Amino acid sequence: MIDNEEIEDMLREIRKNEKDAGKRISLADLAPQGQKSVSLYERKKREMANRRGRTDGRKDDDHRPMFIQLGTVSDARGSCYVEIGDTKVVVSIRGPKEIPNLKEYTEMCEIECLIEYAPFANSPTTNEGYMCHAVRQALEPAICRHEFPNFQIAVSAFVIEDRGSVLSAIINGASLALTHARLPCFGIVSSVIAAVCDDRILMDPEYEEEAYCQAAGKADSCGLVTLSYMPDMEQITFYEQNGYLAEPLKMVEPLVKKCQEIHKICIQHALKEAKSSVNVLAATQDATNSVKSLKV
Amino acid sequence: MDLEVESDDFVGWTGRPIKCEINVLSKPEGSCIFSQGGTVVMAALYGPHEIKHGKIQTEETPAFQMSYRSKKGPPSNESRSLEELIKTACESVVFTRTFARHELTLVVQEMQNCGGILSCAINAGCLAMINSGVDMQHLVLAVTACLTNDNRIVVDPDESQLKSAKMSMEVAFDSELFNVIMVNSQGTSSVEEYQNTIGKCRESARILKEYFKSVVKKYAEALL
Amino acid sequence: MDLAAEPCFNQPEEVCKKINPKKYLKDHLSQGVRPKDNRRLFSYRSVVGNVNFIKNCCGSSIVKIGSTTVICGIKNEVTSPSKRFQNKGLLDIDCKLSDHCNVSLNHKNRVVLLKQCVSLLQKLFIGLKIVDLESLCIAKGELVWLLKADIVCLDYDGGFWDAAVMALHLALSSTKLPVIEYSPENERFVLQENTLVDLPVGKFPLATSFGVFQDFVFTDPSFEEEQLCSSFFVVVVQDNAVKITQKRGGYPISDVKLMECINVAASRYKIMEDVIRAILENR
Repeated sequence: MIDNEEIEDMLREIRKNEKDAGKRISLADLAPQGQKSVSLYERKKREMANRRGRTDGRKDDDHRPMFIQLGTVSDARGSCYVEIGDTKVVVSIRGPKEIPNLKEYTEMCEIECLIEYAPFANSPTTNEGYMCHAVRQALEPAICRHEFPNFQIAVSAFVIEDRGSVLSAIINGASLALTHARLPCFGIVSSVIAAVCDDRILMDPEYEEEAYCQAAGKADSCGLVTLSYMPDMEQITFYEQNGYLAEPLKMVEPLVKKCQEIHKICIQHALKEAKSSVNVLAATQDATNSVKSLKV
Repeated sequence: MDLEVESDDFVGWTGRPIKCEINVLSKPEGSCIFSQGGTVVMAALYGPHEIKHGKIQTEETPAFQMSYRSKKGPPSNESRSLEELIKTACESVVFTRTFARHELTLVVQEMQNCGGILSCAINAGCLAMINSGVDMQHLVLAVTACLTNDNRIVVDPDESQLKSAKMSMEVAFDSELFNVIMVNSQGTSSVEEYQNTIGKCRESARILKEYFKSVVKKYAEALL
Repeated sequence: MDLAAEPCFNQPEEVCKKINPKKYLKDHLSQGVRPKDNRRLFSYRSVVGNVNFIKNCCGSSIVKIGSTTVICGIKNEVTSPSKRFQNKGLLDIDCKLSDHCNVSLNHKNRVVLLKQCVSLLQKLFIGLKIVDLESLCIAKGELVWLLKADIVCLDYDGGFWDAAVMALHLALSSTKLPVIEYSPENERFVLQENTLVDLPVGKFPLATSFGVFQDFVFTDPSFEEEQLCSSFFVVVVQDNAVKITQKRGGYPISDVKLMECINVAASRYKIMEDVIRAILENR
């Protein structure tokens, strides 16, 4: 028989465990001596110091393979699933709906952004609130906001797994979800993150590379650069730099080039989706026409 | 005024002795204290009173508030899930269309738990509703049963029998067709054993209905 | 009649659904079909699953029932055991709905739904010993595993319980834990990162939810149907044995219907067991 008290007891123990940090034992403490706690981060540090290649065998300016699927969430107006390497993100768009408790007339449509990390994902390297802000800034120039005064569009992103470059994955996904939602846009925004360490520019960094480049302050130039670009209008919608860079302007050109490459992939997927939905529409149109011709 | 009714006269009731007294509290519209063996529960029904601002009653779900107080300390997960079960079982029998924009509050206090608290609480809630005179579609009659390791069905078992049982279930029936309003079972049993247990519970529920009738009768006589 | 002549009625079905959704559903059900996807009363939506797709979890799974999508990830930690149960590990189960889920589900309903689901999973997996907590013990009284299982719903279209039970079972079956041994020379516990062992998990429990709408009972309700149903009847079966059944209030159902539900759920077990085996072998 089920012993409910036992379950209750166990839950109480877990809650107590959460509060009492001293009781927790980290797995790294149990590693065998000698090779004690060679975390991925440490390995990355050595690798960077030795100026060798990257762990996954990529070249410095290689982007990880991307997987894009539109229309993953059934009841959202637009949605997109993006996978960059092992980073997995789902983005969905809701709205436009009226802004609740509106005080005065707002000429431009508001964009509300929410980013949520799965409990089992890596803890985020940057603050979630800040990431929301970044996504909003990157998307605002791309959406025809003047068409929806007093309205808001909600962008919500769910990070299933974080293996680096989450922000760019979210921006790419959100922009594609906007096209899937059939909201008027000036163009598709694509985004790339680069990690800089001395004179190396690592495109699309992994989680550890990101963490290293943000933490290490000793090198000559070191940091993270995020850029989102709208090739249709030839505009940079968002640029952000974290850390110290000797020549920041030198970064822009290679990043824009990378964005254009990604843009091509995004366009392909958006087109494919649009074509299939047009086909479906045509099929239903045919069906209604044939029903009409029956003349019941 | 002695309103206590005991189950001794009811032939066929195989469970623990039932005792109940209604109209025990003066403030609430309906109240009762109900015991099955060692398990004792007190229930009180307040209302119908007007819904406070902010809550909106939908067409079919009645505004029915329920709070279950366990004997010890703050509400645990266990007592919260009990509360939810009692609430849904009791609110489904209330004829809510008759008092639109009004709500009922049912408070069930556990006095002593010796197994079968859920069915005891639902029965007490039903008696409190009868006592208050709220419009009801039918009664709700709850029975606990368990299947022992040697495949015997025990209706209204006590705590030790429940602990050693391989399956236990609480079923609530309506008093018209004896259809199942609520069922909550846990443990391992075959499909036939499951069906037999529900059948046994239904038989006991019929006797329970007679018992409820006698309670109401005695109360009515006392009123006259 | 020319349908195009009345533009607002060019889709009469949609209009009927908006004006009186209950009658719309009732009319469909009395004909033995379901609205939207033309299912029969006792047929199911397709089930898709995958395991071990999240790299930094020790076990993970994704389950799709129709368009309901549920992800489960398990993280492992070590801790010292509770004083009362020295040889038992800990398993923490939590359910969550992501922002993508249907917003029309109000906050209170969400909380109730999640609480009910968590308590069902706890009863099933811990209470009925599908995961034996003693197998999570590393050294009695010293060190035990604490598994944190988080179930996240990405897309909510009804049948969350069924998907959650399946996702949790798949995730636990795919869980691999590293070996921790006591080494006498170092006088401490040592982790062997490269030797992984499977977590012993009991047989697959199949949860089937039935929607109860007036006199009708049907399997695997979608979100639209779920909103109209007065209550649900959840049956968990494992190998011809009924494990957990739950129906909360609502419209009373007759004995015949109740047993029909249980038989329907039990008869599906063999097929679903093969599906689960196929998913686990494919990893």
